[in-house]
Amino acid sequence: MTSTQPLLLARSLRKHFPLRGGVLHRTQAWVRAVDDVTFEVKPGETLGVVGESGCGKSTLARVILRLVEPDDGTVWFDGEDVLRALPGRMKRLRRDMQLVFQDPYASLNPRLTIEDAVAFSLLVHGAGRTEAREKARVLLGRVGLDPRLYGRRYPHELSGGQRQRVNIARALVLDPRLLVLDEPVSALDKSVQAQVLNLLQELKAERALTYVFISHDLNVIEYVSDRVLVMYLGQVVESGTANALSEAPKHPYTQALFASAPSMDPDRRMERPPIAGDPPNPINPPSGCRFRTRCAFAMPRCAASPPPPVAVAPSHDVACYLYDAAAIT
Amino acid sequence: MAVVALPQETSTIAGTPMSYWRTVAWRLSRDRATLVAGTLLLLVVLSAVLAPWIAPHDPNAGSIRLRLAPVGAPSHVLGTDEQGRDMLSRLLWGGRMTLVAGLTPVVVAFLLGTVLGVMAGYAGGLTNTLVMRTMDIFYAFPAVLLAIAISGALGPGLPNTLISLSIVFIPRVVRVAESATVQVKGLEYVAAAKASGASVWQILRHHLLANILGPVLVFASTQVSLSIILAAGLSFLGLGVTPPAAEWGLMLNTLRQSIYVNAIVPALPGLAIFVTSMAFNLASDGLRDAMEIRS
Amino acid sequence: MILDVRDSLANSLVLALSSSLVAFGAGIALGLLAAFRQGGALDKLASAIAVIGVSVPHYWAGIILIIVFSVQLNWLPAMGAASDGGLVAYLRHMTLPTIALALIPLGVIARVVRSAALDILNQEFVLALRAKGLAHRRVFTHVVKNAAPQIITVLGLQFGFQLGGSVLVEAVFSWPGTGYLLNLAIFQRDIPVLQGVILVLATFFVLLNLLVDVVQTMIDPRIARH
Repeated sequence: MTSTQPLLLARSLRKHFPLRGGVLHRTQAWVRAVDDVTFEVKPGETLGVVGESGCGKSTLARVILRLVEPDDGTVWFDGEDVLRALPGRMKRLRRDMQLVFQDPYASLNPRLTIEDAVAFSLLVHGAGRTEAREKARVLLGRVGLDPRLYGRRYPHELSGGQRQRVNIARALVLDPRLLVLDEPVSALDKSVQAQVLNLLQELKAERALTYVFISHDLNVIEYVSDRVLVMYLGQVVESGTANALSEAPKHPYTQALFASAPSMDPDRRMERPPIAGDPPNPINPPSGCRFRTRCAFAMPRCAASPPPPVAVAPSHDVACYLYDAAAIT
Repeated sequence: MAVVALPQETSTIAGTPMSYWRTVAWRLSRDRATLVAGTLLLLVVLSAVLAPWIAPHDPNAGSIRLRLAPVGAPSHVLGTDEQGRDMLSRLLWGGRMTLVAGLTPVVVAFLLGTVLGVMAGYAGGLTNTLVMRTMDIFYAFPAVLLAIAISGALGPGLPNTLISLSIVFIPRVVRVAESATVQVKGLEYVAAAKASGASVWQILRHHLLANILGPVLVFASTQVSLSIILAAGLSFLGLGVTPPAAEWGLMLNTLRQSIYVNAIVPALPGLAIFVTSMAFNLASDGLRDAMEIRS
Repeated sequence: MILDVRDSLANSLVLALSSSLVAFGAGIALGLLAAFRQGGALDKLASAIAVIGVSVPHYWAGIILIIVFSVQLNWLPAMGAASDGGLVAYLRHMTLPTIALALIPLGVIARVVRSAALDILNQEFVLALRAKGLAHRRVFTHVVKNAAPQIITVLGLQFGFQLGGSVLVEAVFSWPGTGYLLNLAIFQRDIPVLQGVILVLATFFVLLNLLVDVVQTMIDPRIARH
């Protein structure tokens, strides 16, 4: 197996949303949700994507899966251009890349029983009724919901954690190779979070899956990820292995994120200044480096143009002028 | 109005999970006021349907000799109208006309309006703008005026009345359907269906329609009483059903001059309209409450 | 013909305005009463009045009013506007048509106000305000302010209804307004008058709707936010 060929490759993805307002619904501003994002995911690894709300993670998830068409950029799945795929090919591609949603309440059709909800995907791809239901029931059992007890139930009768299990079952029923998980445990209680995370780890090993795991919770990201992407206001500010980032984060934002993560470990003291200022607004972000308005180390250069990613170690990139040798003059 | 969560308390009976519509039926069966209104409606509809068999006299047969007999007159329980025709019979037969003229436009509006609204809501963009702005033009007119304008142009008669009232109600239904579609379309289970590769048609059929029919149905049911009032109103003005047909609004018009002679008989057709309209309103209120999604 | 239309428009507007006063005032009062006394006898009474208002055919209501107040009691006149009889006579002639026209909007407004006020009253943060012991008047003001956009929309729509729906009431009372003119034109199949009146009314409604939209945008901070 050519383990170096990435399963997912994204280049220069850009997506801006128009904001319409006023009596005439004119476009008054743009939400720069995703701006020039480039990354890759190797087969079998878990790429964690972390950032605060509004940093564009959810939009990124939808762009990768082509649920939202980007304004610019390319997405390659196993060497194939996703954004240019024709409808027929796209439908087959969808079997390989699935999404687990964040909101366990809005992600299930309240009118369908959960086994029907899971079976629906199979029906879409031409499976027969009974066969689809059978497969759905098997999968429900695998995620911890006994189909004999839960199969004919409706979403409103399940707890948040149970609904997420249904979501996972629904995503896996098509035997995908890549699973994008958009804040899959954020809406759950801590104890339930642990159960669902462990389930995800088991499934990943069993089925040789590749995960793109999006979350704003640093502890969760550290727990599940092999490599991590740190996003801020629609851009990638740092990317590297989970170990490298947690032990020695380079970008000021990453440092602040890790410093402010609550921890029970008395050795992790606050050594760096916590983050200042208000949470970001992706409408009309600051010029140049978007973090400069909250950065303790901002230089005049930071306002002029956005810093390009610089490799500070093998497969560890930082977009910050502090590490750009040419910039510090 | 959210269309997502259902109440926990009514969702199971003896352990079996209930689907949404079963829950609605269950709630309705416990709502006393709605049951009464529903029964009343049933009576009205039945009496209209069975009119040919239960009417004591020929609704068109009258003799001037017997005109404007009061309530309780021999063999004319509800009196006679200005041409001596039996009121009870005319009311029964009139009910058929009024109900048809009132219900049909709403049914038509429900069907066509849902199709248009879902189309506009799901497609978005130019289609949406075209459809919704066109509907806005019609919606800007008060129902009465629009009905009169169209009926005035088309002329009297039942078919024209049906057309004109349908045109009045379709834009209203389209608005509700479009708004519900846009809301559901943004929910994550629709995105999930798309992510599975479902076609537009599959999404509409399995996910969208089932979830928007509720609000649209409730809205349509609230329009019935207005439709009946309008249909009778058009006949009242001479734009709807034509004489000598029996229709409550028309009867109200022809009996109008007679109020100086006999106060009660001329008021009866209007009373019929009022009672029917009220029954529809109460029933649709009950339906709305039963279908409401509470969290 | 232009003179006729102008006069009749004035008469219709007068009728619509006075009927609106009655409908808005009584409707809002009833709706708020029902909402603040939710579940109690007053609520049931107010809601019952509202349902009756919504269900009653206004042309029939007019006839009933004539029967009761003109024919039987002889308190108020039944026909026309007595335009040359002075203000008091005008007002007397206006009374019954005003009531008849106000019934349906009264019912609609009462129901909408009740529903909107209840929505706000039942929101959790209002419960919190009340728990803090906020004076009744402050809660009341708060509810009214928040329900205002919805209520204003309905008021605008119902005013439109009264201008249009006056056709039927004017027919019953022979009130010389645009509806009466419309009615005559329909009867006589007088196309130019018909078109003229409809054109005037149509323009009026488009402007009215625009006004309601603009007012709504200005009042509701959520919609108007840049």
